[in-house]
Amino acid sequence: MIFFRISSSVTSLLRALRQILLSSKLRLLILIIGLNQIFIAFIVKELYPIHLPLQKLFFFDLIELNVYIPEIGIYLVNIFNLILIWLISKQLFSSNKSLIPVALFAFSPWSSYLIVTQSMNIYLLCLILMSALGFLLIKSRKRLLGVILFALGVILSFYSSFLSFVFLPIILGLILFKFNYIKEIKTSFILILIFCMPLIFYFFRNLIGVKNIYERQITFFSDSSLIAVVNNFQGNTKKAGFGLLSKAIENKYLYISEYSLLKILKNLTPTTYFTSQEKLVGFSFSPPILLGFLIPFLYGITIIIFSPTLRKYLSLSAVLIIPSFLSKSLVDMENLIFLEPIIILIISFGLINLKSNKRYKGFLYLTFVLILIQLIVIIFDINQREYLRFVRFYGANLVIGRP
Amino acid sequence: MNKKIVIILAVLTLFGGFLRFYNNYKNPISLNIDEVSYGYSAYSILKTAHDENGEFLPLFFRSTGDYKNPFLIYSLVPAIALFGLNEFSVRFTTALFGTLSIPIFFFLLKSLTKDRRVILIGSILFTISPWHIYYSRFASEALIGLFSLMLGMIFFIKISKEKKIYAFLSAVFLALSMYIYHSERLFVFLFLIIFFILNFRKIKRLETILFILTLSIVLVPLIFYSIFGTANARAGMVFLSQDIEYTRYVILDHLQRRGESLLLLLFWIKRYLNYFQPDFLFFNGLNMTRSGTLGVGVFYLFEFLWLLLGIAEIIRKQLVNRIFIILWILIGIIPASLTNNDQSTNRTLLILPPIIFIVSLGAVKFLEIVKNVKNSSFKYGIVVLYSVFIVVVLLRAFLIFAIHFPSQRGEAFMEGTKETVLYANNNKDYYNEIVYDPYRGIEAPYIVNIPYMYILFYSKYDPLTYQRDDKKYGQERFSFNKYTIRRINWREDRSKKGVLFIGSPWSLPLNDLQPDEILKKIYLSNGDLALLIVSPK
Repeated sequence: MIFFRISSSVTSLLRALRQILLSSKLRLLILIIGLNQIFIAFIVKELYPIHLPLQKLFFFDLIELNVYIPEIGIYLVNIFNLILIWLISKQLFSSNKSLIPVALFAFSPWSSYLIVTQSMNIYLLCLILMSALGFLLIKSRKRLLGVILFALGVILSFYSSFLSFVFLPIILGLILFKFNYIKEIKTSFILILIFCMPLIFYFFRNLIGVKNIYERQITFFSDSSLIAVVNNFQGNTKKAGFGLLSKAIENKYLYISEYSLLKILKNLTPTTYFTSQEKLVGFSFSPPILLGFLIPFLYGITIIIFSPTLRKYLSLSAVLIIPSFLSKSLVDMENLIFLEPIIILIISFGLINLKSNKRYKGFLYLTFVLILIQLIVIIFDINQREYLRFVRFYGANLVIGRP
Repeated sequence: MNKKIVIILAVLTLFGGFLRFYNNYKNPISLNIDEVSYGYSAYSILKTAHDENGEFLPLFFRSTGDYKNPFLIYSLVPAIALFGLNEFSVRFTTALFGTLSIPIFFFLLKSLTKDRRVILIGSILFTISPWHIYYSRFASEALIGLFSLMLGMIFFIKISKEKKIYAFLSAVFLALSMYIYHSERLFVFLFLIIFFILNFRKIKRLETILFILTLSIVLVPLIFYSIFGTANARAGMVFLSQDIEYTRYVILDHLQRRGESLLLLLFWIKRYLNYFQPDFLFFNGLNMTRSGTLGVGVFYLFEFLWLLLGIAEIIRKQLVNRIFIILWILIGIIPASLTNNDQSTNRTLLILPPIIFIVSLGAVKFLEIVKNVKNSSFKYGIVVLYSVFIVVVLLRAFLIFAIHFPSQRGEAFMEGTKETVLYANNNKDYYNEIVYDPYRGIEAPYIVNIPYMYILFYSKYDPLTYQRDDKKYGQERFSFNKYTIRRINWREDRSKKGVLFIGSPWSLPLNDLQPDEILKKIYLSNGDLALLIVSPK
């Protein structure tokens, strides 16, 4: 009996594998994943050796247990990310266009460099993608699977990173109240509350630990230079006899508000994603996303902005810049990685619409020419110069970690 | 033109003139290197009809080796004749052109649109534009170039009305702008080519032939000097491939020559797109405060929303001059992006008019949106809040212009050099030699002064004497009369009696000086010690 059950399970598995290999889309997906792994291996080989500190989940940090994510974990999570993006794309685009976002994500230096440097955010990105897929499935026929994925993604995010406490509740709040999905995610919400109880318990049990983790991860408010600048301005203005005006116009609230606005705008500016304006991992000349994709991105975002429905979902995704906003630097490319799937989806949307619009076919050809040139240049540049840039930036220790 | 508009224009021009002229001789706090060079070259032309290097009425001025364009220098001659050789006369011409740009911009808007609200709001925004005010307050070729460019563009738009005089005038002013400033040279050339290609079927033949002919004739000397002379020397000095970030970080000091041109192309695109950064546009583009702090962008923060609405209007509406405006902006950034500066506000000044046009479109759209709000308390709330926002931004800009800019950016304008030159001039008879170290800087001695120009300017050195003076050139060394410009090595120089030394604390370390050796300390407005005047005892 047992033997019969085992053999029938193995037969089903083999049948599923056969289906995967026969399906051309799945073959293409496997090919893209394979090429992505080669690209990442290429970067690892060029930057070898890198000595990296291993990452610990937030919950284990909280309970002071030394449990680390193994190095191989990030590479497996990356493969899972590609599959999740494919599944999400299948919900948003037609089946034959669902591999475009996967290909874009697979060959973007942004995620690849963060994988090579073992960034915790790749793991967190996986959980957010899982939640996003779950959310999309809730609206479709696979409601139960959607509820489980959504709840699982959110719960694991809370357990994994302190940053999740900062922006996930805002997303959940927006989904519930602005988009009015209370009925749909009620069950997920209850599951999240139940399974997060241990976390909440340890949270309040170890407030000092939470404070240390907070100070390590959220550095914006600890930036004393902002107050020093305001004091300097006020001092000079008072000396010139405009003391009252200085108090009204040059106070810390207005200055910090202005600085916050600058941070938000810098994180949403396209040049941040398509040029090496903000160097990846502090030293790379490779852009986060290839420059040629700027054209479909601009086209896609123009269509989205003029569509009231799509605009609503785009505004929800702006919340994903919060982790980068809360860091000390103006733009933190590692924390901004959560926005990458949105940008990829906008680019895909733009590419699909560019292809169908005969008037702008020239722009489509220009896009592919630019992408091809830049990809070749980047590969040769990584091969010839990236390691020296890495050494110049990090020095003899060759350690990448949080400062 | 009706009476009301004339009065509004007159008021705006007067107000704009006040913003550009008021205290411009002391804010910016000092004349920068270019200003003293322009001023002294003009003074030399006034006195001797030769530049300081002895060349008779040159078309391009060798000056400090950067081959300056002629227009600004020749335009300073009457100002110096009237007011003497001082800060006010050097800055007078630019301030005047800056003031006169206001009515010119008004007419430019009139030729682009019939919407009176856009014209009025645009003219107001131009009058108070921080970008334009900043460059109006010190000698600037970029600002005068913009003046001529705007005139050229007004007549260029009118060519379609088939009046040959417009084609002639447009060509003259566009060509003139190319003599005035380097950015216009590349911009006008690219703009005309691309514009004619895109509008090939719509162009008027006769007017176009007259335009091209006039342009070619007026540009003959410039073309000649560009090919056989030194007109393009400056371009070679500042080209992108010499950028420090490019050489040290991108190509790693020419580690591998292969593929460098493609990397340069990608680096150039990055630099080009840098001009669309929010910090440049709205937060600290003018660099009027200390690095890393918020100051004033090239536009005010309250113009941000209007710019977005204006871009939406440009995309949605089929405006007549849409392509003209978009081309002006996109091509206007190219000259600046090809130079070795991250974000250059003077080289991109020529894109100010079309952007203000777009902002004005957005402002009008904003007013329409607010007008259509049904809830009256919400409507008044928006109006009040936005008005308060505008007032706060303008007041902050005033404080930066009036107080923080002079004290925080004095070093960029060589603050302190005048005092040292005046001291040296008043006491030169007591010394055999006056040695001036050209390197200065508070954080590090990376700023290269050109002290001899300040000496010539502030001592009102007779140009004929200077032209005939025996000048000695050596490795990082230059001398004339009693003055020697070289690095000071205090360990060797401290034994030289009867010599006056002027330099920064980097070359004259305070710890190494006896108190009676220090004759004067020159401080910046922010209290930092900038320069020392010493003489060995």
